[in-house]
Amino acid sequence: MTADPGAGDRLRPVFALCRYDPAGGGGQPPVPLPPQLARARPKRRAEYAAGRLAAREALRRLTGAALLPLMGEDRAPAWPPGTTGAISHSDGVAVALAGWRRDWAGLGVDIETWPSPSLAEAIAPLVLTPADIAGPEGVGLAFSAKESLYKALHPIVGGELGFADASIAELSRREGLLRLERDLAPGWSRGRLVPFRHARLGAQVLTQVSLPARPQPG
Amino acid sequence: MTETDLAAQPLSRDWLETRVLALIEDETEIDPSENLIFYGLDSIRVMELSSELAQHGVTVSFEELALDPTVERWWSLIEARRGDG
Repeated sequence: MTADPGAGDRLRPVFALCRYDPAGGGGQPPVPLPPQLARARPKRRAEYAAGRLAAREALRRLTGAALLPLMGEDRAPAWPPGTTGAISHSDGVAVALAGWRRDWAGLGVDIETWPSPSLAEAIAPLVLTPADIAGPEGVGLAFSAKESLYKALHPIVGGELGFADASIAELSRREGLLRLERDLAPGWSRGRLVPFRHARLGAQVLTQVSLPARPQPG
Repeated sequence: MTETDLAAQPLSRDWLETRVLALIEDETEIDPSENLIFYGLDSIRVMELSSELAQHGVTVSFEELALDPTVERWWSLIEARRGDG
């Protein structure tokens, strides 16, 4: 388990990562499973538990208390009062992002296994818009960045977000900008640029979107 | 039979169940009314299925598939859309 040292300020939410056995070996997960997962397979239980452990670590660093976000009615994590965050997992790596609600209007994190060339080619037309600067080799990154964006925007605009609703407009080695392709909510209009961060973790791609609660200077 | 052969076969309930099993990877059977997330289905795999359906001329978006991920629901979406075309 690792986490950003001393993070959780207004500049950056807390990030935590937890590795797990993707096959679900290792016995009973060390966190309580919600009733919704009573019938879930070991693989799903393992990724759920790892995601919650990553979230607990992020919350511990943020708040100083060992808090575990439970599963809400909509299966999304129910973050403790005053906090917000996001969880993602893929193939043995679970990640979580957590911050104070007063600082963040929405947080999104997503991890995906880098798609094979054939899978990338197949899903490219569904993931990329004509305006996306990520080419076929960037499908995995675009998929993940948009998933992070939609998680972060969900508390603001509700559901009904699709892959056509944003494009990668700028991309550098660690960061990029997503441009909204339609009006989603007051203040979240077509053309608005939203920064994201990205990283490669071995065979996986990790993206983060952090939406400040108030417009930041500059 | 290769993946490509399978994906190219005509759409049927069997086709869907076979594809879902392949996407989940390590299961041998699935309950058609069970939430496929419980089997550990990844979102990028849902996108892959959406792409395969598009190749068959059936438009079911990732978002629609992700909303209620069960074989039964997916098949009813496919049947409804097949009629449109």
